[in-house]
Amino acid sequence: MAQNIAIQTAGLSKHYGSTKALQNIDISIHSGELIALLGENGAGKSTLFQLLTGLITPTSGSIQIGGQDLSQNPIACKKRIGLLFGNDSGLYHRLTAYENVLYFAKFYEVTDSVARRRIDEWAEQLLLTPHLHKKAGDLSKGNLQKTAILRTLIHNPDYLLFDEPTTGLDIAASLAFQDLVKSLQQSGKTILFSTHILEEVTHLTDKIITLSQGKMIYNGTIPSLYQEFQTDSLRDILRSWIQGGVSS
Amino acid sequence: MKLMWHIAKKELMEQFRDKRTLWMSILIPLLLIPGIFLLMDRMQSSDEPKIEIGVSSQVPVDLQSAIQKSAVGFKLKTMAPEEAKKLMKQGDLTAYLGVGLDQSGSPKEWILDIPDDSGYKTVIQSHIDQQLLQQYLIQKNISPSELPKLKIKLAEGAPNIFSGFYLISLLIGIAPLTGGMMIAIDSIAGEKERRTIVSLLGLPIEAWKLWVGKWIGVTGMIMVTTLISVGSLLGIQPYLSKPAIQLDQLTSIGAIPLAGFALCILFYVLVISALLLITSTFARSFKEAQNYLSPLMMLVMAGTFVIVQQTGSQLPNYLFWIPVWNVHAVLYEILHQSAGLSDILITFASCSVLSLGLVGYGAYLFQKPKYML
Repeated sequence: MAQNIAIQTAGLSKHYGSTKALQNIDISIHSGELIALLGENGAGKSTLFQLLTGLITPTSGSIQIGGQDLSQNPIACKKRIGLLFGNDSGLYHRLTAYENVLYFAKFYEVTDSVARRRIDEWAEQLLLTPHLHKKAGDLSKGNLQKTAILRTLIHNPDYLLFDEPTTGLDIAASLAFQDLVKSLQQSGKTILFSTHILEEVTHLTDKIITLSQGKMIYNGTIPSLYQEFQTDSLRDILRSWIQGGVSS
Repeated sequence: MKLMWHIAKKELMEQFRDKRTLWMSILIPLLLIPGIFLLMDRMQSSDEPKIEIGVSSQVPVDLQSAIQKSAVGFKLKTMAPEEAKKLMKQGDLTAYLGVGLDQSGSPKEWILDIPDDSGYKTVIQSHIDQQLLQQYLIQKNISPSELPKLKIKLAEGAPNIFSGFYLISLLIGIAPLTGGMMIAIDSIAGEKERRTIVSLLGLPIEAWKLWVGKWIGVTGMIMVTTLISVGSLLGIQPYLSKPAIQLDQLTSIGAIPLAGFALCILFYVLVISALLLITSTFARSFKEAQNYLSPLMMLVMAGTFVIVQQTGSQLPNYLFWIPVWNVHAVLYEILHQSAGLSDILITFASCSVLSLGLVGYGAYLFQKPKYML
């Protein structure tokens, strides 16, 4: 079955002075795919997320979101993206969870009535209903992250970018999040997520993109990686990559 | 525009839920300004000089009582000349009134002993002289009421606007800065510190609109603080025994110059809010932004100090071309009832051009990841 390309980059590079944060990245993510982005700290994962969401502009190369050039149509592209960060919920602590989500919904032209209906539905699914009217500053880390998820999903985006979404969450919240990611993929969403937790990767997907020192060193499935390295341990493969360095 | 208003509303809502901002922007101007004035007023009233005068026992009682009544704060105490000398040396007695007797024991001369450096020398002397003269007239059977009354008439000079200008000018300088400081810092430097800026910049809206929305919010907050501050300052004046600002002097200025001045303040607030928000855009954290504000505050306040040193009712033209300072210059001329339309128009023009320039610059900076991420 031919699949549409959801996110595509071509020759994507980002340099900060002499530092090459990202070099010549070519990726194509098809609609409905769930891909894990792996790499050590400083590999370029966050830079890639920042580029894909239009927070920063590339030094060279291009980004297509849903067939549209991000640099040409940033607003249209951003409307189709849902962005979630693990370390920072990105919520306003003096507003309630409800107010936070409603505030962001307006930027995506989601009407109040639709937003309220979606909040109620998702909050019930995420077990967040009792906490919706508490100030974000009074919420636990887990509930804060659930509110951030609600905010990410409020405009029903086609493409979801999760940057280390389970960082700081306890086991129960992490497992619940993994279940949510699976259900989102089943509903047809395209998902790119970065993580340092390899169990999370193997539980959720068999497709990975690996970055190291700003370069893409692998883009494919986990089984073919195992075959190539003659091992069934993703941990060992990553260790050998990191210890061996990356040939340019 | 709808989204910019949405952003401004959220900024204001957040600030009204923040205790620090409520203190700085609402409660301090509402309570502190009247409180300070009432306290100053009370201290001034209770600070009336208490002048203690020692009196020889040979001074007739009716003269003692006349001196006592002749001025508020005079306190007479009968004592011997030696004791008075000692007390005056210690600074516990202001003056001593003695009497020189002739051979028959009748008063021959009055002796007022008062240290030469006493600040009350003239006051005491004139009061006692007056009472002695009255006593003398009575003794001679001349009624003091038959004498022609001395009428003191003050020459009409320039209105004394100094305290009024100084207070209003300082308040207009300080209130927007203190009132807008918290919201301005919080809305950009605070967002950077809390990392909420990333979610914000990822939204499908042009970055400049986000900045302008925040600017509208900051401007709204500053307007509220400025109105409360000026209202508190003027509102407390009727309750003071010695008002620092004569309200009737203000009302006599006329509606048109006052409306012109109100517009000048509006433009001034637009400039200040843009300056505060640019400071916040530059800073990476709350603390860093606070550090930048001190020089900004000094720059704004300098206008008051420059203008207060001017003399005459008309100020040099160049002052009206300097945005921010020119609002103080307009206030000065309005209080002198000498403000010209051209001065007010120049003030509008320079403040509005500067505010537009600053908004453009702030919005430009906001799009730069270098400053924002």
